Amino acid sequence: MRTEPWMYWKRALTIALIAGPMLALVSIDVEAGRRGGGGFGGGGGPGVRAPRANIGGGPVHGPNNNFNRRDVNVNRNVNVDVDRHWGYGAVGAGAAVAVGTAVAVGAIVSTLPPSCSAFVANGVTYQNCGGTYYVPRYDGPNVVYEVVPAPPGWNQ
Amino acid sequence: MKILPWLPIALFPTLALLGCASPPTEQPAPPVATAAPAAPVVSPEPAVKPQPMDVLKRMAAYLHTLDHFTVTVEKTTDLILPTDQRLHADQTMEIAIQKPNRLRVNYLNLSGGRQLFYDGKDFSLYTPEQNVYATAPAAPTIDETLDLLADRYRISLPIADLLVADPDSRLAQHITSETYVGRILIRGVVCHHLAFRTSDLDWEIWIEDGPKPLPRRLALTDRSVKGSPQMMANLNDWNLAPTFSAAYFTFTPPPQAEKIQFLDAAPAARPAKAVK
Repeated sequence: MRTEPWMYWKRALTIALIAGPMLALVSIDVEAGRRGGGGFGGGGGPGVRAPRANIGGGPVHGPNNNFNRRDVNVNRNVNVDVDRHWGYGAVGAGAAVAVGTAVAVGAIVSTLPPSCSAFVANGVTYQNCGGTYYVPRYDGPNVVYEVVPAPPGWNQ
Repeated sequence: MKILPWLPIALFPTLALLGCASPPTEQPAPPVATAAPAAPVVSPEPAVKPQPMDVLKRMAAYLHTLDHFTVTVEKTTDLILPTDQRLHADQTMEIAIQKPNRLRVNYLNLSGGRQLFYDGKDFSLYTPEQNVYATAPAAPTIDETLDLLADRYRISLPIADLLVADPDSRLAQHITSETYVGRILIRGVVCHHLAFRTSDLDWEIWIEDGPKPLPRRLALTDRSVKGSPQMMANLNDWNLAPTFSAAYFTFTPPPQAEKIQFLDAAPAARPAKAVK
């Protein structure tokens, strides 16, 4: 059977339909796992730019110390202290992690995926979300969830 | 005769104008105002334009004398999304200070808010929505604790520069330009409007004119960030003689509240690839 020219377009479209979402998930996972540099875990979301919170300047730890708080903050390693609200939450860090997507231990998300079940082990409340385990942490002043290994002795 | 067809058209605007100008007589007279309108605020301009740094230092010295106070901060922060769309995120917090080593902040939001406590020994953060809290050792003074919170725990209070014992040491640094803009009303309070620049920051402050030179508004434009996002904080409801209960600055975990850890202190396995 002779290959019609439009068949190439059909194949390309099929590949795009499959590869597109996969790439999107990969990029979400990367962003969800990123921390420190952006520092917008709680409120901001990856790539969100915000001003510093303070004027500051001057020595912080004594007059003879050259340590300058502003130099630290230039790295934007500051938690943007804003409250999430509807609509805005969609740009939150890792808020869009898909159910069933493998999420690396250490990844930080600002909201849990749907359908999680809570259980307590060693005094810590874990959230089991489709086999991925989360515990709440404070990232700056915001509560986020960190992906952790299953607690020892826990069988899913 | 030929002009007659145009007559209604020519008259109509005139009648309409008359209708606007003269109030209809059949309507009842407006109720008599029981209270006189608020007297306009008149405050003569000072003969000599104040020096911005003098006004700033006067405020700092005044804040230095305050032993305890409460103030409500309403701040709006620019958030620039990766698409360059700009959002304004609002936050309200009630701050209570008892110098030198008591601080409490109530963050108000629609999901129960959160609270920060500093009792001179430890600081605690409590989030009722998730019913979780964290506690960690603090520093001996408010100043050092604010630094600790910002540097180690990445909890920055937006007006921390004004809460320290000596605000002058934080504000009057690295100034490359200072401007006395003028006087203006902020929520009915006559304020001096000052503008300062540093190498990467434009900031403005509105300081009450009079015997109580309190900061009423703070605004900054961060030129070190692409798009120069801004933050503006209004400082409302100053109370310079509050009474605090003995336990106001001490956090007592509610029943069922779970103690959690700060991210950086958590011992969980951390992937080596984590971007720092």
